[in-house]
Amino acid sequence: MVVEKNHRPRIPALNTKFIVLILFSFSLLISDQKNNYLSILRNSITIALHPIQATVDFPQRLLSWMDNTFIERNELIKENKALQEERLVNLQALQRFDSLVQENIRLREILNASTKLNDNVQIARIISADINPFRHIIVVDKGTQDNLYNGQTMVDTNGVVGQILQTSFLSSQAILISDTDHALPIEVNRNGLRTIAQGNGSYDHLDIPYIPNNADIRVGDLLVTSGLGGKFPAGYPVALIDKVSRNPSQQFANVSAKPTASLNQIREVMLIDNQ
Amino acid sequence: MSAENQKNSNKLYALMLGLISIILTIVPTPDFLENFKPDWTLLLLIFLSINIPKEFNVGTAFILGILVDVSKGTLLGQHAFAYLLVIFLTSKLHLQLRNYPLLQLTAIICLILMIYQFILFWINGVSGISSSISSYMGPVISGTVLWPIISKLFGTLFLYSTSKEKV
Repeated sequence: MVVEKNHRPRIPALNTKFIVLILFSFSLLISDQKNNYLSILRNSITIALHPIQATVDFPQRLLSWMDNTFIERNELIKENKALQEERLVNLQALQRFDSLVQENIRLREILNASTKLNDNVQIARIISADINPFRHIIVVDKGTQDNLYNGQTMVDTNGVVGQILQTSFLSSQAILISDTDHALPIEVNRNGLRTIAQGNGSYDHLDIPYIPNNADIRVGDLLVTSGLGGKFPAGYPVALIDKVSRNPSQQFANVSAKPTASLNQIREVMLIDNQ
Repeated sequence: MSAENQKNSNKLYALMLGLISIILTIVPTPDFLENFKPDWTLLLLIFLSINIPKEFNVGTAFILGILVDVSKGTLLGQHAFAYLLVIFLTSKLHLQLRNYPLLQLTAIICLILMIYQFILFWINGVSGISSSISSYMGPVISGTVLWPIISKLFGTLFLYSTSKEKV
């Protein structure tokens, strides 16, 4: 059997192409890991891929649209009534809030401290989450177009969720406080004890390392952001202490806390502009 | 059908399947399936590089790899690097691979998927990202199980002449 030469499926310039591309991707890898040079490249590819992400998000959006459209009248009336009542309660609480804000500003003036109280808030939807179960990174549907910036604080109605990691034009990646690579400066609301809260890859536990055995910290203590790192504004709730075990043979107590935000159940997040 | 038409229809199918594979990669799955999500893009690339290696080889692997990197949010170049190595291997060996019986080829695909996961594991390790071992083994198992179905399916879609017929 004779195989003609031009019948043999030879691949033109395979080795050269391979070597060039492998070197290129290796240098991409190294420069992406070490610093942020590639954010422009990544951003532009993200924009190109936006239709795909929208496609993936479509069924979810359709479901919630149908949920809203085909809701029963009775339910709407019931919900409306409940909301009215809630509004009244909130209004009553707000009356006190106004005077508290005034008092707070006065006290801060006395203390000579200046902290912005009114933060600018934007609401963003989470369009994809997932990926590696150990990296808690989500994608939200707002980007530089909506004046988001890297490091912007992300909260939900119950507490701090995370921060923006990488903005692009139409969407942004954000890291949750439960990611193993994330830590944020916090303080115990009761007594101002300062420490940090580290993610450990689980949605319902944060590690609180470096707490001395004799520190005043108890189960049920609320941890709030201390604002010391300069990234998170002060005073937002982060987590509740749910375990403190002190072992005299160890240097530090073993403390863990449960995030007040339900990190794996949120659909919308609020982005606080404190620049 | 002329060769030019055939080439174009192959390119169209490859583009469509490439997009679908990226959608399948980022679509959220239930938790218990998360670890067993096969790497659809890699399976597509392996098929193309074995059967239509002239049109689809390392270049396609690199482009799809970068797209997967961006949509998954991994290090830029990680999947591209791993795809490149695997697809270089399969396009070098495509004459042998396409002549293997399906069962034997599936066994080799399993091995290739293991090599691929090892490269990902290695890059993650170097850059300090930890993962459980099941998240590396899951795609190998599901990919191997799905390979016979996928290769039959793609075989009906793409137009190419196998070397068996030609020789």
